[in-house]
Amino acid sequence: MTQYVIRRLIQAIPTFFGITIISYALMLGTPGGPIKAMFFGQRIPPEEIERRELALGVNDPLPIQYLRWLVGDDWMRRDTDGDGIADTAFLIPLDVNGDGEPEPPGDRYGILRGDFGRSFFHKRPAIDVLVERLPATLELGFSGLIVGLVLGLPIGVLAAINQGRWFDQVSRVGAVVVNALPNFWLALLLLLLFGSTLGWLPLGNRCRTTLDDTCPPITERLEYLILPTVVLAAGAVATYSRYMRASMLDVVNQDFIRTAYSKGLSSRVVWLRHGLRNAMLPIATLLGPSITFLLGGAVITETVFSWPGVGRLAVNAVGQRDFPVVMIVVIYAAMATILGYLLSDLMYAILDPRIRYEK
Amino acid sequence: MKPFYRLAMVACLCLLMGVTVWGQDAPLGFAEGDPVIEPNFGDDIKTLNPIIVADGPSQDVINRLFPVLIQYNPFTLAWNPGEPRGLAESWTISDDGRVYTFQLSDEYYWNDGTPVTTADIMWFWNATINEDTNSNNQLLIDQVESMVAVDDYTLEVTFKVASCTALDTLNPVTAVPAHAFEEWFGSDLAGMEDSEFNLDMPVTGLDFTFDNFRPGEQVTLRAYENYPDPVEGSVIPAGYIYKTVTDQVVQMEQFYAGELTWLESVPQSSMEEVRTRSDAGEFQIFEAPANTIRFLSFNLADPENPQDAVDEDGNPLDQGVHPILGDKRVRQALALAMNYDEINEGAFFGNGIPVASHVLPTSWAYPEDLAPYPFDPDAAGALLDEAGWTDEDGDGIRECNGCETTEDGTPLSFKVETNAGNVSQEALYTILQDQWSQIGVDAQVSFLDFNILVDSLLAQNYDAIGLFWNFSIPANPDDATDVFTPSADVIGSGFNTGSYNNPRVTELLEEARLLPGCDQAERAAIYGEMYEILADELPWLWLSTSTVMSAAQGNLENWDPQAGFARWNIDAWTSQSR
Amino acid sequence: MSAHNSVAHLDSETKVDQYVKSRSYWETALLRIRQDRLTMVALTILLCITMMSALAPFITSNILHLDPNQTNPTQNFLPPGTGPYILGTDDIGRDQLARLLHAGGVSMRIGIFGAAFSLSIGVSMGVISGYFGGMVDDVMNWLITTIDSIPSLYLLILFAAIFSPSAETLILVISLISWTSSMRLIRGQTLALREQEYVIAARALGANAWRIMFVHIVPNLISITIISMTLTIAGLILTESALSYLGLGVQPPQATWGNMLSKSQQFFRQGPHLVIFPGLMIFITVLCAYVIGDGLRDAFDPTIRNR
Repeated sequence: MTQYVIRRLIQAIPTFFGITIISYALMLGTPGGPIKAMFFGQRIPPEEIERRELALGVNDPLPIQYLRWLVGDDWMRRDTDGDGIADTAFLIPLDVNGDGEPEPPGDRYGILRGDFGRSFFHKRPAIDVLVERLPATLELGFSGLIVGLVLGLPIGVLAAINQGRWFDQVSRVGAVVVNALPNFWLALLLLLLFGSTLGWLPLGNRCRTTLDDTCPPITERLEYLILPTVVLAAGAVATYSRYMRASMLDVVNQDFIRTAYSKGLSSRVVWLRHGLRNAMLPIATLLGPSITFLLGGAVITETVFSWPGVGRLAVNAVGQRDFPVVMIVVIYAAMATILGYLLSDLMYAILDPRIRYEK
Repeated sequence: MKPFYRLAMVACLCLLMGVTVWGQDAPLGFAEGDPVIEPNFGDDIKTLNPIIVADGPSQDVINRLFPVLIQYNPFTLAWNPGEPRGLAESWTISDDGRVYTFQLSDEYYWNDGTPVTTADIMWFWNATINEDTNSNNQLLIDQVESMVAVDDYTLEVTFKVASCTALDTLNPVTAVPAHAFEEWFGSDLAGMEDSEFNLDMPVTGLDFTFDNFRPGEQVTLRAYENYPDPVEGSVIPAGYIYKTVTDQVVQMEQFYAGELTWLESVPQSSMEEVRTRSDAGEFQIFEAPANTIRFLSFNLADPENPQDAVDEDGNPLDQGVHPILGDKRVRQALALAMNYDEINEGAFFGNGIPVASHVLPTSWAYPEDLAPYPFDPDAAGALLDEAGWTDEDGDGIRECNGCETTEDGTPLSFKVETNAGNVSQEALYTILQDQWSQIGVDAQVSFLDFNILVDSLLAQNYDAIGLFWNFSIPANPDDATDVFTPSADVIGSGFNTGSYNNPRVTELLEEARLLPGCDQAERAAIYGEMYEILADELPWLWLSTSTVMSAAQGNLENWDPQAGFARWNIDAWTSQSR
Repeated sequence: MSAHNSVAHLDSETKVDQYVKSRSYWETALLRIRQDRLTMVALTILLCITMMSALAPFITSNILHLDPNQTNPTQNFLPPGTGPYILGTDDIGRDQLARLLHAGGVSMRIGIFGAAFSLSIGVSMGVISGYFGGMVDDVMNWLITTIDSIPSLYLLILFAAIFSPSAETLILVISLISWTSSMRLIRGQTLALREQEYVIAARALGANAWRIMFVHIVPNLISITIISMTLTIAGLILTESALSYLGLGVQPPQATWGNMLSKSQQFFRQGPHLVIFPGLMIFITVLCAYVIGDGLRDAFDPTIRNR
C-alpha cells in the first residue's frame, strides 16, 4: 500500500506543474495588470509607478517571472560579500532598471519553498490571506459533503429498493429539478423565503454579529450553516442518490446476491449486508470529483450568504488582479482536488477485496 | 421496506422541528448598549496604518481611530478649527500666504495615556516623504515644502507657493502615535507594509479603539470610555462594527430585519420602499446630493496615435483630432439629444439630479446660472447638419458630408466604453444609446471590466469612456487642474485622457488657485468662467448625479448624517427608550 | 454550475457491444423514445424554445411589432399583460417578451455551440488518445488530469476576467474548459471498441488508422455523444447564469437569460415578473435537456427493458 501511495504521489507531480503553468499563463494574459488598477485615482508620477513595477518584478521576461514565482530569485541575484547589493547574477541582469546601479539581492523563495509572495492589495503574505479564509470554507465544504452523503446515499438505496415505484420517481425528478435551477437563484429564493419572509433562519453570514473576537463554536451557530449547506449540498445529494441507485441496482443483479437469497436470508439482510456494502464501492470514486465540485460551488454560495470563505476571496482577487492571492487559491484548490482523487483511489483499494495495489 | 419510510419521515420531522426551534427572534432596531452595525459591501480592510492606506474601506475605519490635523464642519463643509477629531484649535496664515501655523488642542490623548502632540503629526509627515513607505499622498509631498514642530502644540507648515487650496492639500495629514510607531516601524520604514500592527492597531486616539478584524466577516471597534471629548459627554454605543455583506439584495433584507443599524447609501432600486416605510416610522432617512458625478469623457485627440500634450522639454506635440468627437458641435449635439427626464426615470428611479458642471449644488463654487443643455433633438440635428454630418443614404446613421474632422462618407459612429456591473450605469448608457440613435448617431456601448477600462482610459486610445468622479469634501474646484490642463495629459498616468487643452482654462485655474487673499466669492467667479467654457466646449459630458439616501433604524437617536460626513457624531448615537 | 458536473454524468461502464449492430439498434432506440412520453414532451418543449429563440428577430419584428432594444423609461416595470407588453416591461421600459426571445437566442447559442465545440474537442481527443494509446494517451491523460484538478468555476472566472466576455468568447472559453469529461468518456469507449473483432479485422486487412477511426469507431460513438450533448447544453446554460451573477458573464446590451435573471434580483420588489420569467426559461430549458438526456440514455441502453 505504501508503495502504491508513493507511486500515486509521484504521478501527481507532473499534474502539479501543469497546474502552475496553466494558471500562471492565464494570470499573465490578464489585461489591465496589477499596477494600473492599484494606482487609479491617485496622483502618482510615472517614474514612481515604474519603480513599484520593478519592485514587483512584473517587467521581467515571462519565463523568468514564472521561474521566480516557482523557485524564487534568491539564487538568481546573490550578494556574496554581504554589502546588501547583489554582485552575482544568474539569468537576470544585476542592474535590472538600467540606471547603472546594481539592485539588492533577490529575496523571493518561490512557491515550491512555501513563498507565495505578498498580496498586492492585502499587503500581507498571500498564504496568510488564504489561511484565514480556510476554516470557513472547510466548515461549509464538509457540511455540504456530509449532508450530501447522509441524504444522498439513503435516497439512492431507497430508490433502488423501490425501483419504478413512486419514491424512485420522485427522487429522480427531484434530483433533476434541483439541478435545473441556477445555483444563485436557488440560494436567493431560499434566503428570502426562510430568512426574510418566514424569519426562521438568519440572512447569511457565519454567525451573529457581536463584538466578540471569533464566532462561537460551530454547534452554537448551526442555524447559520443550514441554508448555505442546503444550497451547496443540493447538487451533491442529487449526484450521490443517482450513483447509489445505479450502483445498488447493479449489485443486486449479481450472482452472489441470488446466492444469498437462495440461502433463505431475509431480503432486508440481503439488501443491507450484501447489497449495500458492495454498492458503496463505486461511491468511493466520487470523493475526488466531490471536492472539486464543492470548491467550485462554494464561490456562488459564499457570495450570496456572505460566507467568509476562499471562493469569495478568489472572485475578489481576480477582480483586483491580485496575482499572488489568485495563484495561491488556484493551487490550493488544485492540491485539494489531487488529494481528493488520491483518497478516492485509496478508499477503493481498501474497500475492494479484489484489488491489490501491492507492487 | 416500511422501516425505511418511517426512518425518512422521522428524519424529515426532526429537521423541520430543528429549523423552527432555531428560528430566533431577530433583533428589532437598535438598543442601548448595542454596537452600531454598518454593512461593508466592498472588500476587506487592508491596513489600519494611515501612512500607507490606499483603499476606501480601510480609510473608513482609520477615520474612526486617528485624529487628523484639520477637520471640516459637517454642516458648512468648510475647514474649521476645533471640530471633533480635528487637532487644530486655531491657525494663522503668514502675510505671503505660504506659512500656516497651527495651534493644536491639548485635550487629545492616545488610549495608552500619551498626549497627542506635534511629534505625532511630524512622524506621519516624515514617513510620508520617505520614499521607503511608498506613500500615496503625492499631492501633499508636491505642495508642502516643510513641516516643523515649533513646540508640542504648535506646528508650522510651509508651502512651496501661496495657494488658496493649501488647507485642502493638508486633508490627509493624520496624527499617528509617534512613540508606538517609532518602536514598531522606526528602524525599518521599508518594512512597514509587512508589519503585523497594520491589522492589529493597539494604540489609537479617538472615541473608538480597534478590537479585532475577522477577514471576510467584520471589523470590530469598541467604545473608548476614557475618550476626553465625546459629542454628548460619553461614548454611547458599545462599539462599531463594519460587517461584510456581499450581496446587495441580502444587505437590504438584513437592514429591513434590523440586523444593520444604518446604511450610508441605500441602493436606488430600494429608495422608494425605504421612503414609504420611513413615513410609517419604521426607519429614518436622510437625503442629499451624492458627491459623485457620472460623466462621459470624449477623446478630442486622434485615438489612433495617442500623444502626450507636451514633450520632455515642454514643447507642445501634435495630438491630431478625433475624427468624430474632435468637433465641438458634434459634442454639443450629443448633449442636446440627451433626454434627462427619461434617463432619470429609467436609471435613477427619479432620484437623479441633472448637472451642468462638475461641481455639486452644495458647493460654494456652484455656478447658479449655468443650466444643463436642454433636451432639443431638433437643435441637435441642426448642429450636426451644420457640422457636415448628414444622412444621405437613408440608413438612419449620419455620414460625413463635408465635415471638418474626417473624410466624406465616414459614418457617425463611435465606441462608448463604460464599467460593467452597475445597474444604473447599464440603464443610463442603454437609454443614451437609444436617444442618440434618434438623431442618427450610432454609439456602440460596451460594458467592460474596470481594469480593462482603466487601461484604455490611460492609454488614450478610446473614443468615449463613461465613469464616475468622486469629489473630495470639502469641495475643491482645483480638482480640475488634474483633469483639464495639458500638464495632466500624460499617457499612462494623467487624467486629462481626452487631451483637452484650452489655455484660458489653464490660466483661470491658476488664477483661482493663487488669488491673493483667497476671497471665496472672487474665486467662485473665476471658477464660474471656467465652468462656462467647459460647458460650451464639452470635453467631458456631465451626465448626472443623484440623491444619496442614508437610512437608519427608526429608534436610533441622535443620528444626524450630513452630506459627506455622516458619522460626525457617532459616539452620541443611542436608542429611544421604548 | 454544479449540475454540469453532477447529474450530467454518463455511465461509462455501459457495454460496448450494443452499439455495433447499427440499424436495428437505431430503430429500437427511436421506437423507445417514441414510447417515452415524458421525453417526447420535453423534446417538444425544447424544440419550441429553440425555434422561438432562433426566430426571435422575425417574431419580435413581425408578430409582436416590438424592438427588444427600444427603451421607454416612462413605461418601466409594467406588469405582464399591459398593452402590447405580453410579459410586461423591464427597468428601462423594454418589452420583456422580446428580450427573453432574443436572450434565448444568445443563451441557446452558448449552450448549443459551446457543447458542440466542447464535444468536438472531447471526441476527437478521446478517439485519438484511446485508439493510439501509448505516449499520446499519456500526454493527453496528463492534460486532462491537470485541467480537471482546477475547479472549473475558478478557471472560468480567470478566463472571463481575461476576455471580457461576449457570447462568442464565452463559447470558446467554456468549451476549452469543459471538454475533459466527454474526452474521458469517449476515450474509454474507444479503448473498448479498439479490441472489437471487426476493428481488429479491419486492421489486419491493412486499413489505415484514420480510416478505422472514422469508419469503424466514430459511428459507434454517436449515441453516447448525443446524450452527452444534451447534458452539456444544460450545464452550459447554468454556467453562463452563474458567471452572470458574479458579474463575469455576457455583458449587456447583449441579453442572456442569465444576465437578465441576475440583474433583476434587486428589482424583485418592483417587478417580480422580471425575476420569474428569465428564471423560468432557464429552469424549463435545463430541465427538458436533462429529461431528454435521461430518456436517450434509456433508449440507447438495451439492458433496460421496460420502464
